[in-house]
This record gives sequence, C-alpha cells and structure tokens, in this order.
Amino acid sequence: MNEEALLKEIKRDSRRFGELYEAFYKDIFGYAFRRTRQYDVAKDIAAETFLKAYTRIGGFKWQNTSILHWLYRIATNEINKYCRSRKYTPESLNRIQEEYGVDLTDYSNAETDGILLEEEMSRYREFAKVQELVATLDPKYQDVISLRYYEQKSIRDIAIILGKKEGTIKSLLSRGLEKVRERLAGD
Amino acid sequence: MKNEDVDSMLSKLDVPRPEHLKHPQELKMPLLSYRKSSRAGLWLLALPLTFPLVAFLKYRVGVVSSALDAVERFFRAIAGHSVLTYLIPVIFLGLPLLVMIVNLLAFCHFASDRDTKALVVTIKFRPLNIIVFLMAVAALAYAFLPDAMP
Repeated sequence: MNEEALLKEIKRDSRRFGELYEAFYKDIFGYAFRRTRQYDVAKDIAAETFLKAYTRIGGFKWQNTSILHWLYRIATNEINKYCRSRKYTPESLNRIQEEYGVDLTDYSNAETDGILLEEEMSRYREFAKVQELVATLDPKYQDVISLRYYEQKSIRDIAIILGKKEGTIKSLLSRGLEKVRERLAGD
Repeated sequence: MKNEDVDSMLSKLDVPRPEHLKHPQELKMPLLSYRKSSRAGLWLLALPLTFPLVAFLKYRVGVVSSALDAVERFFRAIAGHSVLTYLIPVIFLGLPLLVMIVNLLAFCHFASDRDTKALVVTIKFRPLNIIVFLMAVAALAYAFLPDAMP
C-alpha cells in the first residue's frame, strides 16, 4: 500500500479511510489488548483511536513515516489514560453518542470475540506474568518496553511514535529493563 | 541477572496476536458513516418542513419573493397532479413520522421490569436527536392542524 497516495485520496474522499482501517485495525487493537489484557478496554481504545484518526486525518501531514506510527501514538495516549486510573472513558466515542445518537461500539459479535480471546490468553501465561509486572512500571517505561518487545518496533520507530529522540528511547529502555530486572529479582 | 538477560527473555516472549476478530467489521461502517446517518434525519425533514416555512413567511410575515412563489407552485403542482398527489401524505405524514420514530428511539430507551411489572423509560440527553424529534412533531402538527399554526 502506498500510504502517501492513499492519504491524498482520503483527504479527497473520506470513505477511503476504510482501507487504512482494514490495514491497521488489527495492529492497534492487538497493541491495546497486549497492554491492557482487557478485551472491552482494548476494543474501546482501538475504536477511539480510529475515530480520532478519522476526524483529524485532514490535518495529518505526510513526513515519510507510516501512518501506523501516528495511530500507535494516538493509541499510546489512550492506553496511558487507562493506566493512570485503571478506568477508561473513550471521550470522542461518548461525544459522538451524545451529539449524533450513534453508538459506534454496539457490536453484536463482541461477546464471542471476548470469550475466544480469553480462551486464547490462557495459552500465554508467561506473557501475562511479565505484562502484569511491566504494568506496575511508570507509563513511560511501559510504552518503550511494550513497543520494543510486544510490537517488535525498532528504536527509530519508537522514537517516531513517542515523539522523542532515539537517545532518549535507548535510555528509557535501559532504565525500564533495569526496573524489570529489579522486580524479577524481588519476586 | 543482567539487563541483557531481561532483554533476551523479553525478546523470546511469546505474545498473543489476536487474529480472528469479528467485531472490527461492525465498527467500520458506522465509523465511516456516522455523520451521514445523523444528517439523513434532517434531509428527511427538509421537504415536509419547507412548505409550512414558505406558508409562514409568505402569508404571516408577508415576505414577497419569487423563490417562495416557486416553492409554493412546486407543491401545488404535486397536489394537482393525478398520480403525484399520492406523494403528499408520504411527504407530510410519512417522512416526519419516520424521523420522529428514529429519533425517539435514539434518545429514549424502553425496558420492562418483570418484578415490579413496570415499564421503565430512560431518556438520554441527546440534543440533536431531541431537536430533530421536535421539528418532526412540528411538521406533523402542521400536517394535521395547518390553521392552528402561527
């Protein structure tokens, strides 16, 4: 997919946003799910991310980096809102519901998806244990660790996603690993 | 244990990658069309509200305009046509009734409580739906009681 050309098309015809959605929804939902391990929260974060992207894409400027990085950045901000209070309120989704009377997340397949994912998660006990520990860290360490190891992003990609310098990311990653090591030793 | 060991352990970690999700398809369409669906209610009302508005401006306020005359001629032509005249109840009753029901269901939720044998009605604060609903009521009121309107 030539993202730059697609971005131009989306700005002309917003329905083409559907192609972006098809291409990247799984990545963003998966990221939110791996971070929160809560199906309902993850689907709300993914929906909020794409709703925000859909309403803001007119102002998005192409800078030779994948649109997926931008989506990851929006999702990271939403995940951190959840991390701060252990409660998630999808503001844009709620606003759309108030203003237009449309509930974008009224899925009929949500329950089935949730049950299947819960069953699948039982096969990832080691991951669940590690993520439980990572989730106790400061969100800035959680961001870099999850993007590096769960999402398999390079240091450069993480720097773009979080809007920080590569050196800062390396330093955050090193300190984050140090904290994980300390906590593993403490167990 | 060193940081390198933690790095190695995390790098080898088997992470869940949800594949067979069904809900994404259910979000896609409403996400891409929510603006249109909300505007559709207003478009459905445009036609039945046009005539009372024209009548009000022309006969109550006394506005003289060729545009108002043209709209009036348009509706009179429909009413006078042998086949198109059947569109009149659809325009002035059917469309407002449809808009009224759709918007009422958007801000009202009905549920029955079997224990107390009560009908529980919840009204959500959705200004746009409430305004469109009231406009539909006004259009219907005009259709039934044109002389009682201001």
